[in-house]
Amino acid sequence: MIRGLFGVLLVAAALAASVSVAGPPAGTLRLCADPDNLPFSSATGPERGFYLDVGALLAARLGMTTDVVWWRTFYGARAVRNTLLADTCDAHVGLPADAGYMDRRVSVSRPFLDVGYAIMAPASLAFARLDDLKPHRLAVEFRTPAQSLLASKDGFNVSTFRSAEEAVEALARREVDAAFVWGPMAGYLNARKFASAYRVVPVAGEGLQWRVGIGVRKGDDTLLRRIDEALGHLDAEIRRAAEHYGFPLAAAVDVTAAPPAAAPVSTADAVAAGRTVFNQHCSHCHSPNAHSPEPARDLRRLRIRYGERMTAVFYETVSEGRTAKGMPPWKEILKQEDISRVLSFLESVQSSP
Amino acid sequence: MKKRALSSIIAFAVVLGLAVTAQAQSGWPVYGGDPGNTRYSTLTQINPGNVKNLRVAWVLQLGSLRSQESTPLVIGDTLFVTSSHGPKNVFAVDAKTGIVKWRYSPEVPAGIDQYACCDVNNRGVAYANGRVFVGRLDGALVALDAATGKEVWKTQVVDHTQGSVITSPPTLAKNLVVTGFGGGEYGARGYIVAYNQADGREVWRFYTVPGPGEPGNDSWKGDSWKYGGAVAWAIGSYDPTLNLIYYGTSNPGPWNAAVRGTDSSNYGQFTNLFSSSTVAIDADTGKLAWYYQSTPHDAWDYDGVNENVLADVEINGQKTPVLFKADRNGFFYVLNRKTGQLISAKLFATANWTSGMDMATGRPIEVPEKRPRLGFRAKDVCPSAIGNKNWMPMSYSPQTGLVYMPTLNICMDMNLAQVDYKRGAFYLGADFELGKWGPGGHLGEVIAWDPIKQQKVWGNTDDLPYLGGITTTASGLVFHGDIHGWFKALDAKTGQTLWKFMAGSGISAAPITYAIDGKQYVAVVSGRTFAIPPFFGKMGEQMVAASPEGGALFVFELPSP
Repeated sequence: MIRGLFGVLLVAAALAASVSVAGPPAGTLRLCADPDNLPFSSATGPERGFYLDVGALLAARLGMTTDVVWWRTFYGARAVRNTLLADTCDAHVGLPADAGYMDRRVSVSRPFLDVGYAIMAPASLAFARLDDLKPHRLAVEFRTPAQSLLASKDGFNVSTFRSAEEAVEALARREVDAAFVWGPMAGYLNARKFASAYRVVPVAGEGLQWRVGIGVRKGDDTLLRRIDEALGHLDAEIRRAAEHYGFPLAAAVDVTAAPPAAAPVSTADAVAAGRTVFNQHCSHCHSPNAHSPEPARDLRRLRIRYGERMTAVFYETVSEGRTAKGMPPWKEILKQEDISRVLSFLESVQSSP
Repeated sequence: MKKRALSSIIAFAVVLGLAVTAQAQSGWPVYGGDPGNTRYSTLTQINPGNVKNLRVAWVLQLGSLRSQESTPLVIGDTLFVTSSHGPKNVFAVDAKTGIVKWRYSPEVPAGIDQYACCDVNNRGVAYANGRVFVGRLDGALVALDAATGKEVWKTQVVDHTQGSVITSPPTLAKNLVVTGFGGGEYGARGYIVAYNQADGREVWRFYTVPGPGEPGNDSWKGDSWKYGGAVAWAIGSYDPTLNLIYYGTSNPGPWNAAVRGTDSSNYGQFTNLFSSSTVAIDADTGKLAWYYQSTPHDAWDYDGVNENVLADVEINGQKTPVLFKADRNGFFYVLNRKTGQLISAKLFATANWTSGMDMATGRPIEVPEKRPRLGFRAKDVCPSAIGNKNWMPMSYSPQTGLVYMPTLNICMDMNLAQVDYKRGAFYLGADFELGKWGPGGHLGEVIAWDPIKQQKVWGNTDDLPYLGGITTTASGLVFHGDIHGWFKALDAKTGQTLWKFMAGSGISAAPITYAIDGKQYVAVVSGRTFAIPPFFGKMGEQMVAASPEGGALFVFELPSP
């Protein structure tokens, strides 16, 4: 308990130092970060972002304060050239731990996390192999290895989006059935916007999975050694921070491999299971099989009422409730997968406009 | 003396014979000197005999450093010039004295340089009816009152946070102001858009990548057309007689050609229209009149954006309206600008990705091992991704019948394997080894090219690339600068250097010439490029070391007699 409090104080001290210009340079770790790039970093909040949290943990471990040097990372190599390599900062959290990165002008610490591309889909969409997604509409992010992988295969129904955010929005609007995008972003949006209703499955393959470390200038060996040593003690805390931002942390799945032993759950099964859950828990107010005669409680009208926001409204309402109207929060009562099954059932009974 | 006068008259007659290109004029009304981009001036006061006497009349500090690419305009007795970085400044100055009349310094968003692929350049403004039109890095197009520099209207052309910026002046046609933007491989779908000059209202928009149901959409695999690039980031041309606007378009996106098609020289239907092309657009309707694609299914970053130079020349005894284009891909093209028909194409510098032009199809014959592919590194490919000629404009002199152009002699290795990241996500980006010297050891060469015979007449090599844009005069002079900071006057017939001046910082921008009160001036903007060196490793270091950063407009005159 005391230890925990001490940790909080240290992080608070680091936060305080980040807005102060004074302080001994030797005790300050200058971090380069993007000012507008959640879940990785943000200058304006409300969250600071995972990479800044890692930087704060690291600095605390090293007994240093942090100072953040902001630079937009639209072009990653240019950002590194103008910050780290120009000596305006000391460490860049979140660079690829690849020996050849930036022609070896950057040294990257031991990796502290695996990140990569992932398939985000409703729990009801069963897939064990990439080929299982062929009958479905698949969103992919422009200029990514996921796009390259799908381009090298025939038979996929692919919609391309400029960013992971746009792809996930299309998923929420049900314009696509799954999104093959940058995993940390998918997990973050899933956690913050959809009450983790979707599954986010990291995908193994060339260029799809990366190990991420902390970059310093080549030759900054003392700092690199200290960072490596500190990271060795921070695994659990870094993992907790990654969980906090919803990053998918399961081992990447080789979806090009043979099908696994366990048979996946089909959509029809999810609908049937969802009907059972619904009739057990929801029919008291919303009528058996959702056939409510009262329009305000008729959940067959969700699509008409909320359109593309239906999925988001469903998860928000079911998880948090609408206590003023008598709807209790269900997130502590129903399992997440059961809530997802209820959605699958409700989707199967929506009225047409 | 008499002979000189006679030759001037002949030159003048030749010029009058041109429908749309250079007219006898004293100012510099548009980026390319005329709407056909010949960059040819009929002024003859400064000539090969007296050019050695040129001296600085006045200098304007532009207020920003590096990557100055502006061509000034001279309208009446006012000179308009832009700086880099936004532009940070647009100046209106007295063209005789350099005294500033007004300065427009727009607020551009912080961090704007993070979205400009190739540095913070600006190539100048356009002028019509008391309005100055400025395209900005933040994707805005503004109209200024030419008398005061105050904004009259402003419109948002494109969202710069998607990597799309405006660096070139718009093209004017009748009552329209027409512009494209940059960002070919960063998720844009290109368009060329026309606004009413009076109020900035959009009149038409031509997508350079056809959408579903439009002719050419099937040249894209899957939905790759959505972010197909093909942006028109450089200079347009206008033929008022044909009422056609011509633009070159960039490479398609993404670089990984497998996304857009077959990723091979046997690209079949997947040519990715209208990327790496010239498009001719009806100025009234915004509809495509014709297109010519110079690099189908591009995999080298061979933008086809280079300026189209309009001229009327004799082809097989027949006076023909043509356009000349020295493409990044190494071919010098002569097209019939009314129909788009290919008249001839020849390589003007070292290019080995192709073994020549198939005149039947109008397509280059590829050398398959020089096409970079996913998992295959193409080695010693010439030209490099920046091409045998980049944006620095060439000049056509109807007097000599030659085109004068700054060419590049750089090769590359390329594949898609380099670890890169963008906003926190990692991917395999294009891995260029750009800094490979072409044969001969020089990196640049100014050449005089006979566009009818399709052959080189003379060439001046340079140890570094980027020789600067070129302007010619009816007195037989060629003006251009280089990355060392030298500004030179050459003999148009021989290429011999007749005069040179050290501007103190490298020159990429193209010069102009104008006359006021019977006195001729020559002007050029200096400020060494930083647009390309970061991509070039060791070669880039040499380019940066060639001269300091800078930003100044130099104006030259002959001493008073």
